Order: sequence, then structure tokens, then C-alpha cells
Amino acid sequence: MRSKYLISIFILLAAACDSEDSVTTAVGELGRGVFHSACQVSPGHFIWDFDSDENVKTPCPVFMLDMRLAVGSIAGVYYESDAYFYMPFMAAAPDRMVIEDDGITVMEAGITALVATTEDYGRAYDMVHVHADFVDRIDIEDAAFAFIEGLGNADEENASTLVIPGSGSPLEVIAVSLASDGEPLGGRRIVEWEVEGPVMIQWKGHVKKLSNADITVPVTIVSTEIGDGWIVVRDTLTGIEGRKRVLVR
Amino acid sequence: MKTATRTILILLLSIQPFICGCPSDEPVIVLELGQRGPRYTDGDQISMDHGTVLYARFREVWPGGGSESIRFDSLVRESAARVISGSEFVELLPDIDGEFWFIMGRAPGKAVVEINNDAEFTISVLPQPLEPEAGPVVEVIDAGADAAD
Repeated sequence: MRSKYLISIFILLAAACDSEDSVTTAVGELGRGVFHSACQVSPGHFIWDFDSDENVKTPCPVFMLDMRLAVGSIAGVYYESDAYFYMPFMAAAPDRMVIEDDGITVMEAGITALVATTEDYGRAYDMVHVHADFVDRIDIEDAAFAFIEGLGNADEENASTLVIPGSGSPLEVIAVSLASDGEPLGGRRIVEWEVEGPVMIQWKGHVKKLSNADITVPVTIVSTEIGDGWIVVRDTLTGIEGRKRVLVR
Repeated sequence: MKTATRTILILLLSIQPFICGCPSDEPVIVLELGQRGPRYTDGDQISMDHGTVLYARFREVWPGGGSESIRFDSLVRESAARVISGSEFVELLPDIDGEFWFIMGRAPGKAVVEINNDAEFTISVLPQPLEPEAGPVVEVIDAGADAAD
């Protein structure tokens, strides 16, 4: 049995849309205001880190401004200060980060400055340097485990096999983009899921909140019978695959 | 006798600035990174990474007089800074307070920035390495602390 699902889904980045201890903001390097990060749930539609629970009805992975973004990914950025509720911003080098509708598309690995400016782009006000890196591999992790322990930190048992206890049991999994040093990368990316064996995929796309206020976009693996199979996730931009064995017992 | 007196007077006048610490007549324009950061003078070349920003200001400094000379510093406020060549590589954007400038490395290449027709600085924008080191290229410090100068 083999099935294929093309799902426009955010690879989980780590999120905190409304947490009090949110790390999704970064104080500008001149200390005049704050850069907020956001997820893009659809073109032109962002969910910001300061949105309330009531507003967050859609999957909302928000990248952290102290983490690296994946090359090719999209993320939202918003700048505000005491003096200015909103300021547009520009990339120091437009070929490295493309700005459109408050979203940034990462074109190059390395460091790129985002500069908050006046409305006419005539004067600069603040800045932040954002890091980006190439996706080296994609990992599939048990979502619950990843949320508790942090992304990219699967234990030895989870590292090679996902175990589903019994037929009909669901298991939420997430895909995590990793850099060559094993650190997770942020930014919205489109991936493709594929399964082989006694499992099928459901994408519920619901918001799940945990103690650290992570919001996830997991897919759910549902077992259909005892046996073993594979789950594969593929980055549609790079073709990089993540693969994990699934054991239903 | 007259010749000897004149010679002594000339000698005294020529070394007088070194004795009393008086500044010379002509100020020098310097490019200062951040606040109290490294200073560069006319003809210097500054390197930066593609995609990053240098936060800098321009000051007039009267050389000579050692540490006393700091009181002769003055800010080249709203200075006529402009990119006279290589504008595709470097863009200048004034800070909102008119004191600092954001020097943006738009693309790899060399640009020349001129200040008040008095000084020129060559900005060399370098391609970023594939595995860049962490951290911004320029540390920006304590904006506003310099107002008393």
C-alpha cells in the first residue's frame, strides 16, 4: 500500500505565538523598538506573535529571530517601537532577502540586515541581522516528544523508528529542517508526505498549545494494521528527503 | 644678531603646537563606526560583508594635542555624504536623528563615499563566506550617549 499526499504545510519551526516568555521577538540593535516574527499561513496572511489565542485558529509556526532561517523559506517580520506602531523595513541586500507584503523570502545563506525605515524609506530607524542557512536534511520526529524536548533532539529510540502502539492509534509527527550542524531552521516551507505500509496520514492542522506555548502543524499518522512501514517527507524546493521507519505493534 | 633672533623665533613658533598641545588649523574628517568605534580617515578603505550594515557617523577632528584634541571634535551633522562611485554596491541611508548613517552592503564590489567634498572612503563589500561566523559584523553601541560632545 502506498499513498502520497501533497500538503502545503509549514515545517515546524518552533513557535510561541502568545507566550509571555516568547522568544519570537528581537530588540533592534539600536534598542529603539522590536522586530516581531510571524508565520505566513497563506500568501499575504500572517499570524503574528502578539496575536491572541482567539485569533490563532490556524497553524501558526513562528520562527524565532535568534534562530537561523532556511534558505528558500518565507517568514513574516513586523517592526514597532514606542514612537512608531508600524515601520516598513528593507533588506540591506535585496538579492539576499526579498521583502514582500511584510514577508521575507530567504535567498542566500549567511547574515542579512533588515532595516526599519520611515514610511518613505528615506531614513533608517533600527535594524536586526538575520541569519540563514541551507537545509541539509529533514528529520521526522514524534511531535509530542519534540515539543517537550525541543526540536531536533529526538532520543535514540525515536531517532530511527517511530513506534505506534496498536492498530488504529494515531501518532502526530512533524518535519524539522536541519542545518548541517544539526540545528533546526525556521521559515515556512512546503513539503510532501508519503507513507508505505500499514499507515496513512491525516492532516488536521489544528493548533496545539503546550507549556512552552508551542504551536504545531503536525500530520497524524494513523495505523491500519500491525506491521511496519515507512514515512517519508520531501522538501518540494530542494528535493531533500527525510525518512523514518514506522513500527505498528 | 637679528638673524639669530629671527631663527629662534621661527623655531619657537614651529614647535609651539607640540609644546602647548594646540590643534592644527585644519580639521580632518573621520568616519567613526558606532560610538567611539574605530576611526578611518581620508583615503582609508573599509571592508564589510554583503548584506550587512555599518552604523557610522562622520566627525571633524583637529589633530594634535593628544587627548586634549577630543574637545575639538565635532559632528558633521547632516553631512553631505554621498556615494560618488559604485552606488550599486553601497547605499547610504541617514539615521532618523541625522547623526548616524546606515551604510548598507548591497552587492559585492567597491564604492567610494565622499563627505563634504573633503574626504573619501572606499567601502569594499565582500561576498559572504558560505559558512559565516555568528554575529553581526559591526557592534552597535549605546546610541544617544554622545549627545554631550
